Amino acid sequence: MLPAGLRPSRAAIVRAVTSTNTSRYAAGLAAGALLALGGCAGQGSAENAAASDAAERFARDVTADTPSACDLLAPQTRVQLEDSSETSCAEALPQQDLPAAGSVRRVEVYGKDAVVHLEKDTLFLARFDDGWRVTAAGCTPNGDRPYDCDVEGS
Amino acid sequence: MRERLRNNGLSLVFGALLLLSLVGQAFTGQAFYNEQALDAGLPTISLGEYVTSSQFTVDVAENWQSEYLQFLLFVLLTVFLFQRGSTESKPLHKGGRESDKDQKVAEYAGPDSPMWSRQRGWRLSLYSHSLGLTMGLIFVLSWLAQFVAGRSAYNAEQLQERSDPLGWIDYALAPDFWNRTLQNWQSEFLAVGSMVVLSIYLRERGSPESKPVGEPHEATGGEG
Repeated sequence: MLPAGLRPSRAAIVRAVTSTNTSRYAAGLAAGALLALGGCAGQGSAENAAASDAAERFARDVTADTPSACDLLAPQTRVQLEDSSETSCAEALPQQDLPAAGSVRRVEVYGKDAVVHLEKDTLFLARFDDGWRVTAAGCTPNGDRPYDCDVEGS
Repeated sequence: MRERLRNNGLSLVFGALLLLSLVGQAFTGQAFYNEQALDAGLPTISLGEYVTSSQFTVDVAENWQSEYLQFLLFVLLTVFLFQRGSTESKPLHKGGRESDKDQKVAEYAGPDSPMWSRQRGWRLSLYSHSLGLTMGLIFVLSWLAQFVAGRSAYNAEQLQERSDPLGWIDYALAPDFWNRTLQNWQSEFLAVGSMVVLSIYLRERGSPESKPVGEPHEATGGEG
């Protein structure tokens, strides 16, 4: 007989969670699986490397190969740049006076979003179907507020 | 087969409801995520990507941890605390861990008693607290999953808003983590508290959660 403090219905619900070894361990394993999934989702050295590579290529191509740099911009960021400049991306991008290229100092990736800190610039990126794209560039810290970026989407 | 279904109906129905709810949460969560992504010009995600994302994980884990905390506290506090008239309380004269005879352990165990209840030793001690320990372990793992996934999901939003992500210690102190935690805790404590009090005065004929319809309000620990 169960302790009097656990009436059968509440106990039944509790037993539904832990009654057999299988269901007891299943609940624990599920919690453990949540732990693994939640911590690992969208991270790992492969994504860090891919985001870094896209950031470095963009920073290099801004002056060396502007059309390629434009291809590395996220669609909305490119549209925003062209609309605000009233010209094509290839003509507008050099006018933004983005800092000169530098090597990657630090990368942080969370899911489909990344920030790459270069020696002389900070870029924000997102992973689209065709790879990492720059959503904001020429970004400088702004205290507790969001970074102030020379090139960005909405 | 029919008898097996009948005898396990409660767990089967709740298991099915859990699965249906999780599937529904997956679809609606993915739709909401993609709605926001499209508004911000950010990439959308597939259902498979969403259910393995930190966003989905934290939304599940924050609810699970509070449920198991609720069960843990309920299991433990009902050993020592009473509520006169409530079906959720032991009778007022039965405080504490109770006698070995009442608990049917060791020399008082029967032929069908669980194996670890029959002999004194560490197995009996462990089994005597296995329910609370299991609830506590799953609560801790779920809360840890909420913390890990919550930081990842929060930091993804930070990056989308062009802000710096938070480290582990900063996230442990962050309003996002504690807001998610406390909003779930309050609802669990409300649920248990409501059941404890409402069962004193209200009835549901045939439910083991209810006292018999004609049972006095002062009767404690009765059932339907």
